[in-house]
Amino acid sequence: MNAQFKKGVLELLVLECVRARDMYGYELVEEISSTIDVKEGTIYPLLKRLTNERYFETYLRESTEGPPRKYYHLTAAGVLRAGELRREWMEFQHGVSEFLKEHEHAKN
Amino acid sequence: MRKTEFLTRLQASIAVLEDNEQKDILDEYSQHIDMKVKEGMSEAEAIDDFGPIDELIEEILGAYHVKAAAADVAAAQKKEHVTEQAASAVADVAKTGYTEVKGSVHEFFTNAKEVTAGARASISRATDTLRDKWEVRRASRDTQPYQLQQSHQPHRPHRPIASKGVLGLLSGAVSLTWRACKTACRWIWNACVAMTAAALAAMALCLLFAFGFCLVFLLLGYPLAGVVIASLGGMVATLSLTGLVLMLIRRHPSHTLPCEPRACARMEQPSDEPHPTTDVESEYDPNTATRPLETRPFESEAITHA
Repeated sequence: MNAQFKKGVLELLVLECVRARDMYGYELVEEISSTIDVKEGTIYPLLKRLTNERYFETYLRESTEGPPRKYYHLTAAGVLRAGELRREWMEFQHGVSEFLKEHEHAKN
Repeated sequence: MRKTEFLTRLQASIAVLEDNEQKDILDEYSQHIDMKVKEGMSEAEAIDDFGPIDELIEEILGAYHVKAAAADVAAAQKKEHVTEQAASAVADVAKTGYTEVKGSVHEFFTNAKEVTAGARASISRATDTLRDKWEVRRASRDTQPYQLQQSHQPHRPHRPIASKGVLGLLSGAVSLTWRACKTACRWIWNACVAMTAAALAAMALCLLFAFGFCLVFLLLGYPLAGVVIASLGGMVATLSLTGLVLMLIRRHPSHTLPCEPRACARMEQPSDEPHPTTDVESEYDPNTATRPLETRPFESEAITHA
């Protein structure tokens, strides 16, 4: 898949995943990787950026399987950002689909 | 690439960030690799899934709005600055330490000289006091009137016996009991004083050991000047106390033997006056007394002391 496509929707997918429930880094990476093929290492910098921009809050929770895990929680600003990105994506996706449909018809 | 190598390289690249941010990032990647390894992957495979490390570093720094090239320069400068700071701090500490040790050693030897001079003066004063006391005792012994007894302990001073008979015997028994009690008390007192002196001497010995021990370490550069001076002072103090305590020992009142020429020379030839049953001390003159004890006419009688 085109890397630019993946790069564009990655933020939306991450925000939507955490919006549903709080998740830790590895769990989030696994969730995203199962949807689109991305380099796992690139998700952590994205998480860090979104945290720095106050869309995420982090907290540590004890784990029985090892050291404490850092969980990500969507803030109010993150909810608004996720909604905004979702609208943009829907408009973008609709616009691109309509464009392709028209040109398909025109070709025919 | 192994996990340690990956994390080391990552840390070097993000050194421009704050320490807590660096730790946060490294912990996350380390935890991710550990979970991948737990699922059955190798460290190298887990690290390969991250993608090229340079792109990864660029994206991490991008999240903090830091350019990768600038980050390398800044990291190098930061490292150099830290090294310079550390070197200058070590030099300062060494210089300060050397100055302090030099000052401490000089102060220690100055104080030691003063303490030694003070101790010498104290010891000479104590020696003089002891000598004076000894001279006084000798002089008082020389001026004491000669005393004889018919008892089995001729060296013991006699108390006056009022008269013969029951009252006299009772008085003698009381006197003997009193003397025995005094002797016992003197022995107990001397034993306590001796034990105290022994304890103080032991303490002085321990302080001497501590002084020598700490002096060695002080000369090696450890900051033990205070301990050394304190142990030296404590040792001198306990030794002085030991000497003072020993002076409290009460000695048995000394008596001279009947045949000692000095004792014999003490008694003055009685004059025409009646035989003195009381104190003859006022008549005794050690410079003029010549008659030996054996030649005195009243040798067999007990001379009472008023």
